[in-house]
Parts: sequence; C-alpha cells; structure tokens
Amino acid sequence: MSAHLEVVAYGDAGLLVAVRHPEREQRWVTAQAIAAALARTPPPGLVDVVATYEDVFVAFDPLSTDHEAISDAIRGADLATDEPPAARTFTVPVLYGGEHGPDLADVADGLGLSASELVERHASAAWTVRFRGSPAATPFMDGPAWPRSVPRMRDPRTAVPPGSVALSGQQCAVYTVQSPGGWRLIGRTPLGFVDRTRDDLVPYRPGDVLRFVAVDRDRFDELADSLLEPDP
Amino acid sequence: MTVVLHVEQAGFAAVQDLGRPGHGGVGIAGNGAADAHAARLANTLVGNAPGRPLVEVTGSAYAFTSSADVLVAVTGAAERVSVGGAVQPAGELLTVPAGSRVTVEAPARGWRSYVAVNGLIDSASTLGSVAPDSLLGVGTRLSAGDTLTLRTRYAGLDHPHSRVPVFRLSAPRAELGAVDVTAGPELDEFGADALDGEYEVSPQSDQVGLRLLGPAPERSASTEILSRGVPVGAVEVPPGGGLLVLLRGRLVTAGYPVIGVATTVSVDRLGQVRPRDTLTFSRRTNDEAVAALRRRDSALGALAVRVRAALTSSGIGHVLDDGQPP
Repeated sequence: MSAHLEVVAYGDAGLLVAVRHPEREQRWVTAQAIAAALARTPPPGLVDVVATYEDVFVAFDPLSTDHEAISDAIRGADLATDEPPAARTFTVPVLYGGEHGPDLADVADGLGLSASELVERHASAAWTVRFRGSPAATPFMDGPAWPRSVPRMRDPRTAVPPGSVALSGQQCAVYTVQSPGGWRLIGRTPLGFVDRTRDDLVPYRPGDVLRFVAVDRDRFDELADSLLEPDP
Repeated sequence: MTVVLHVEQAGFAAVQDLGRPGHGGVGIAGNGAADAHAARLANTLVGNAPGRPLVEVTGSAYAFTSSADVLVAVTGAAERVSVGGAVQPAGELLTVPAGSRVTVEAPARGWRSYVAVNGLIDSASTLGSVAPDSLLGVGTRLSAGDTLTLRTRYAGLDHPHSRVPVFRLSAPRAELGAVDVTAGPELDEFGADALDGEYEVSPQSDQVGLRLLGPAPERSASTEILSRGVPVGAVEVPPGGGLLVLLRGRLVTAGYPVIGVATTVSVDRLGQVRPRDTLTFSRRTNDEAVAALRRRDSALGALAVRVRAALTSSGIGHVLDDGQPP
C-alpha cells in the first residue's frame, strides 16, 4: 500500500507534507524518500527541505515559483529511483552518569529501572537516526521502547555541553554543539560529531544506526578530540 | 583598494548578510539579517549586490571612521545619520570623507539598522555566509576598537569640475505596524478569533524567536504533533501560554501547533520589533502575501536602477558590484 500525501500551505514560501499510512515505519520511509528525491532533482525555486518522522517541510522562493508548482513536484517525485543507501553503524563511547550524565539516576527511577539497568538497555540497543535536527545536525533517534515516556525538564538548561547523550519521550539524541536544552542527560561522549567544513556537517544520515558503549573516565579522556566515524 | 574601518562605538553590532539558507535538513537555521529587506536596501544604495556583508546594529548606537573616502548607506530603524557632525538622511547614498565619524543613533522606533559600505567587508564565512549563529559558534560581533577590512573600487570623487553630488535616492524606511500572517496548518483547531488579540513582546525574545505575552488561543484538538520542520515566521502556541513567533535563528524542528505563518514581508517587520512593543496580527491570503512581496521586490529593482544611473552619472559607475571581488 502506498502512502497518501496531505500537502498544505505553510506560509507564503512553504509547504507542509504530512504522510498518511497505517505503519509508522512507512510514513518515515516515505518522508525521507521525498526529501531525497527533491535533493536529487530540485524543482526551480526550491530553497530547503526538512524531512522528519512523518512530515516534510519544503521552503521555496515565492518570487520564482509557487505552492502549486512545488506541490506538483512533490506529488510527482519519483520515490523509488534508488535503493536507499545501506545503513551504516557508528559506535559511540559514552561515560554514563556522574557530572556528564546528571539525570541518569532520576531518569532510571522514573522508568522503574536501576541506573545500571538503564545503561545496559541503552548501550545494548540499536538507535536509528530518524532525522538530523537543531542544533547542528543533532541525530534524533529511536530505539527500544521504554516502559514510559521520559519527561523533559521543566526548566531547560541554558548550556548543555556538546557530546551529551540525552533522552526525551521515546527518543535519544546527542547534543552536537553546546546549546540550551531540556532533554535529560544520561552521559557524554568524548567524540566530536560536527565538522564545519563538511556541507552536511556530520558523517551520519537518516537510517544509520548509533550504538553506544560504556567507557570509563580514562578511556573518555583518551578519546577526547577524536571525530565520530562509521564502523569499518 | 583596501580601506580600514575603525569601530568607534558599538552597543550590539555584528557583521551580517542574508544567511545560509538550504541547510534545514541538517538542523541549521538560515539566520542572516533580521530585517533582510533593509539589508538589501542598504547594499543596493551603495552599489553592492544585495547579499554582501554589512553591519547590523541592534537596539543601540554605532559609530565608525574609515581610513579613506567611502560610500555608505544606513537603512532600517535609523532615521538619520551623522557624518562628521552633519546630519544626513538615512536611506540615502552618502559620501563619507576619510576620518569623518559616522554615527547611527540608537533607534527611537524600530530595532535594527543596517550600515552598508561600497565594496566587500572581509569576514570569516561558514557554509557560504558570514551570518552569526550562536549554535554553530560562528559570527563576528563588533566592539569599540575593532577594525574591519574593506576592499572597494571607490577612490573618492576627484573630478575637478564636479562638486561632491548629493544623492536623492530615498530608500523606504522600515515599515512597522500589524504583522501579516497566512493560515497555519492547525488554525482550524483554534477559534476563528485566535489571532485577534493584542500581544506584548517579552524581553526574553531573541534571534530565535519572539515570545508574545497575551491571550492564549484555546486548542480544540489534543492530538500530539510530532517534531517537524517549521518555517521562519511560524506563530506557535506553546503549552505555557502566549505565542512564540519564530525568527531566522529558529530551531529547525518543533512540535507545537502552528496557527499562522508571518508573510515573507512581515518576517522583516518582525526584525524591527522592540521588547515591550505591542503586536497585532492581520490575516492575509497567500495571494495577497505574494503580491505584497512582488511590489516590494519591484521597488527594490527600481532603486537598483536609480543607483546605477546616479553612480554612473557621477563618474563612478566602476564601483557598481559586478559579482567580482573588488
């Protein structure tokens, strides 16, 4: 069954595409495929495309095109031209808890787990990158279903350090740069994610998998200044 | 030739351009001049391409001198400019002699002024733009004592028989007033009068967005909205009350209902909003919004034609930006 697209105006220079399909995975696959197709064959006047779990935001220049032309390009996009690139795996060392994961005990408590059980479950799972968002190509990932949603902080932190591994709802993210943030911090990786000379900033794409591995303080210090790379 | 610009006074000023659009897919906001139209006008007045680096002055005064004669224009909030003590109009092409202090006063209305100088200001570029982005950790914020290097083809007006011309180009000042919005995807989930109220701009606003204090529209639906891309100008209804209007430094994705989206013209107007200002919204159709944008764009094109004629007839047509570095 193919997905149904609802396309609505999203300002005078944008469209919002909502993918309708009974299966969550198929909604995400379709949203990402639309973004890939528009990147491959950009219609005139296209400015930006942001594909997330089941939506695609498309920005365009209203002086050189219009809602109708961009909507036609979206509906006419060839979603099956290529197989999506094979998912790659990235191994991400994490120092869990302590000063780098100040919310670990509290989050574990809220989930009815011990801190070490939470670490064990987090580190044994495959976390799929669903999209890259703000700030700076932060990977928004989902993985194992927690018994409940992890609530955000009532008062977001003003400065979360880069590399912080964070949970919210059923999602996991790694802060790529220092920024304000309300997600709960369970650990920190010493690896740098962002390379400002790369056009896409980071080596991972939607569909890639991050696996976290617990390391101790010595290993954390040894790996400082290393960059994230895909597993061989 | 190379000219040094000496910053003499800077409250909150930065080197700015039209930002880095097209990187939303990796969570990077376009950023760039908050009042992009004012920035385009300033560059156009001095004969530059509209997206050249210039100085954005936010809610404060700014003053500089230059090591050689330069062509300068100030647009946006500023009503006038002082050049060597003489009051000159804003929105005009000004000839500034070497060493003359150019002062832009803190704005009485509006919030941001743009100071363009003919030529190319050297500034570090990231992903094709000099625009500051606090999340990327890039940008050039200016302080008194800083210098900027300018490359320009302008070498003064040295025609023996012509006096220094007084240009009459009169670029429009920043428009204030109601913010035009088109319908957002969740407008139907709110009452028809959802945006009729008056809102006060919270001082907690920044380049990411304006926090508006005022009536919180009531949502009839309770469906969860998954994180999705949001446009600049989106008028969001956060759970904590009031409204949030996203500006060019927004986080690229969010999960709040969007009841309206400020028109492209009005996004620039939002760049002129001051903390504690009262804000109202006017509903527009997309056709009306695009028509207003087209009118504004043709006026900018007409200004570029007048600038070209004025510079050429003054014997300095060679300073016009031809896309090549000076």
